[in-house]
Amino acid sequence: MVIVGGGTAGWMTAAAMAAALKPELRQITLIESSEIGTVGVGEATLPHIRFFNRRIGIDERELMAKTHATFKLGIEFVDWARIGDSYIHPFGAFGKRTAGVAFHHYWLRQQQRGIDTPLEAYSLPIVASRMNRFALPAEDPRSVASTFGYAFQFDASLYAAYLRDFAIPRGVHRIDGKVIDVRLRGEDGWIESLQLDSGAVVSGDLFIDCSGFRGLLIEQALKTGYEEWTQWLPCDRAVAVPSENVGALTPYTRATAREAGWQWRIPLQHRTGNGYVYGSQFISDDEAAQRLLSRLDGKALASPRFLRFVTGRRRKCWNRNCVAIGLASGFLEPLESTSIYLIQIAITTLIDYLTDTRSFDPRIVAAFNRWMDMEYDRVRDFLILHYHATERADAPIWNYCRNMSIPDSLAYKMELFRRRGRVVTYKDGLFLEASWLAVYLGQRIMPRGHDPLADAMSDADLDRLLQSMREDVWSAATAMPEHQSFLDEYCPAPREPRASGATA
Amino acid sequence: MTGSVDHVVIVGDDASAWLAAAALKQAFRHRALDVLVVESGAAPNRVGRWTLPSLRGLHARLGIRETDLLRRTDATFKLATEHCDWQGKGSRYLHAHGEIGTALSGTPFYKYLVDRTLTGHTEDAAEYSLAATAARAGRFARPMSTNDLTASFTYAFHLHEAAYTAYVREHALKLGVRNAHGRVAHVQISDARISSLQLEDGGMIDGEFFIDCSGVQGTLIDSLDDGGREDWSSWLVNDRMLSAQASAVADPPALTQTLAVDAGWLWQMPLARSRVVGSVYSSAFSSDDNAARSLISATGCAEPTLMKLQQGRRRCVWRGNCVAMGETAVQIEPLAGANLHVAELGIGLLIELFPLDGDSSLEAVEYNRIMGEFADSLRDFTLAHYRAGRLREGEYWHATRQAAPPERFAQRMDQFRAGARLEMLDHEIFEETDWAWVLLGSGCVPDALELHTRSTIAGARPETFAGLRTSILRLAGSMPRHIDYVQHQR
Repeated sequence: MVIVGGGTAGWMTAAAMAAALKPELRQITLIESSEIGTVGVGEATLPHIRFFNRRIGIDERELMAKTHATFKLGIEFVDWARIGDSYIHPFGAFGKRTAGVAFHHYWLRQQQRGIDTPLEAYSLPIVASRMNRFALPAEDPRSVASTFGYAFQFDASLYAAYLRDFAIPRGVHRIDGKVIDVRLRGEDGWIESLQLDSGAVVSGDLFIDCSGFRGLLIEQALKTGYEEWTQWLPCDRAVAVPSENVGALTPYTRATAREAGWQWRIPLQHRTGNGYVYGSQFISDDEAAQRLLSRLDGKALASPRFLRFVTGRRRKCWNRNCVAIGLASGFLEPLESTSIYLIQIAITTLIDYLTDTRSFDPRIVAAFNRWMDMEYDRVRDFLILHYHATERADAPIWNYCRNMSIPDSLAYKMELFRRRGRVVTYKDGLFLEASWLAVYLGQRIMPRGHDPLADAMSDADLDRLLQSMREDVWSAATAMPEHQSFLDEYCPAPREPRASGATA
Repeated sequence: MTGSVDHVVIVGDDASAWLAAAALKQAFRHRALDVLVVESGAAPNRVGRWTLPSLRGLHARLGIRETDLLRRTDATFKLATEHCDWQGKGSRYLHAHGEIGTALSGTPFYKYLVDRTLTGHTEDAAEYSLAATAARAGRFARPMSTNDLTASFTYAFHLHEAAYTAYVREHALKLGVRNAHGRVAHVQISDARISSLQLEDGGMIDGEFFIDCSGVQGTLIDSLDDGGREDWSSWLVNDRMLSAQASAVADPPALTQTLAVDAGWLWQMPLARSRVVGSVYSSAFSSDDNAARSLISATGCAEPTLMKLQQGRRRCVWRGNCVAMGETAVQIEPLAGANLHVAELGIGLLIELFPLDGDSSLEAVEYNRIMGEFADSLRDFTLAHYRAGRLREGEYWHATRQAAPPERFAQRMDQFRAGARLEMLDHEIFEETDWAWVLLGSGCVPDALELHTRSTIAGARPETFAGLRTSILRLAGSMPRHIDYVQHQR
């Protein structure tokens, strides 16, 4: 098995393969070039990454310390539906399901009676986020303190380095070199070997393309093709810059809608990551960078870096004996922190499906591609929702998105929610009911009705029920420590070495 | 087109009609929903049926007590179905309502059995299942949460159709469901919605919402433009079912048994004081007379009831202000025992999507999507019995495999055959374990096993599981005889 590319995707793949497969069942080589930089995407993660880490046997506290990680309870969306709006998409549930009916129908019923209690007050991760507090979830499923999950905000290049140090002792062979030619087998066009700049030739059975946007194997060599989604997600560039931390360390990522896209803010222990994702048809690179620099909380720590991308996905993530993982397989902007998730799901699905590492059954390849298409499509629809469900009319990008036609798979979901608060859910793929709920309501899609079964309770009982839920959330949140002090206790990052080399 | 739905009219005589009526009445008791069942007095089209465990959940919601049900209807328990001779004379396998073994570090145990088969040591999944072992031994007890093994299974019922329908009917009436007698002569449509029903005696029935349980012909739904039916007969070739009462056998197990024969399959299931037998076949391969005569001679049963099967489903089961429920929506041979379950799912989803006002077109889209997926999953699971493993020789059996299979079935089988992987889609009636029972049981052997699973189970030695088999045998042996348990409940 040959992995091309040593970024987050490459080392996640190498580490997971080494952990999942017994040494006698595999031989893993990773080719990376110290001359080629990696795209530090996915600094903000989703709770799923913890399952990935646990599955391969990584100690969370050590990982967090080494990657300068902070905790993440959700994402705050600022100015999306209207300027001045703010909502948090939390990693956790709203309220409690009661008498077989989802909580939000009770809340909707109260709203429709004219009683306005903020939805946020029913979500522990949101209330804790607003207070900059954090604690690990409780184990007891009956406790409100168990009703959330968490993820990390970390330095993705340190994560890749951490996984490299994990993978190499477990038998992953690392080659420093640049691939200059991809040799295909004459009879069937499968990849036979890679020619490196050193003159070495690396052959293999399965090639994993983690080479990033350019798709060195999957696209440049195999011409697999790409499905573009720019008609729904018009941003095609980003500019990123780190800045000094200022103020309290937030246990959440922030995404602020801007005049030509949106700006991210991801707080790590030692710095804050920032970026502006924009459409080049709406703003110039210079102006985007300027706007970003003028809107930082603290001093910029480097000069801005630019990225270009085309939103969409590879027509086949697995083609012949090549599997594309990470940016080589497709790109979806990091609005919902899905980059690392999409890497992770490709890896775990591949591991789940592989029956051998030599000949690849086309039935398995087809199943893998169906799965990845489903994952990508579901994230895509969820992202489109943020852009489309807006009332903003202050900039061309928002006018475009508000009026664009959206995929049917999303349109009917929105209509059903608008009509009666029904959230269309699915078994596999990202984003459960609470996520859809947070974003629908956060984007000001307010249902006209609610589940009639929620009417079984009297008004007085309903009001009491909701009040007690709010009180439970409030007292659980106030019992949590400050995010910063929890981190200092749990996983402090090593102090940065001083430039002078002096020791404390 | 506005105003809430306060009056629901259900047309039909079968169990699904009364279950729907009772469930709606119960769910919307806070708003005193009026539910009227228009019954024609038609006799059931079958003598008995077997069900899935989930029916018990619906019973519990409706306040139906199990002991009462058993006492009044002659029902017995069901732990499994046994399929005999499907892979040729002498072959048999079980599909139990329970786990196979216990998961090995998150890997389902059946994969270990696949590995055993691939390494030349085919084992019987039933030995690793308490439900299957108890069923074979004629034993029964309800599951208990005492330990993993006693909680490893669930159970369903064998029901006498007329007795069960009468029982649910009575229960529904007790809950406040109203009834009227008569046959529908004419369906009054206005603006693509049903406005009223005219009965043969001239009586008019008004309603805001209608549920059609009239049978495959779909008297109500058919009068709306409903998109027609999807015909499954090229895949599921049987178009007849006979059923009849027969005398009890001594000490019947908590099992439904099917027996593959030359032109279809026979079945039998125990009741508390008798037995119901049946025959499912294709009229292209057997005349009704022949089928009836062979059933009688094989079982000594009474004169059988004939039911014509049109296997398939309606494309739109919700149209305008009318929902087709149960057999009216989906008709399929009873092999998987899920026929009433389709009604149960339809009822549950209707309650979830109950119209808020006169316009329920969006609800209909969602309802049709989900029920369509459920129906297709049932079709595919039924097909697996015919297409997965080795199959009997013979013209009829050959015909059951003639047509190219539906795409989603082909994809599932491809994935299983290539790597022993079973992935369930969003709305499926059966779970991974159910598929494993049937696929492994019918001798469908994958070409390979996933690498990571091989890593996981590499250390699993057969001796390790000898203890599990012994515990299962011991526990099953300590259960009462099934029929004693039934009699005791009565």
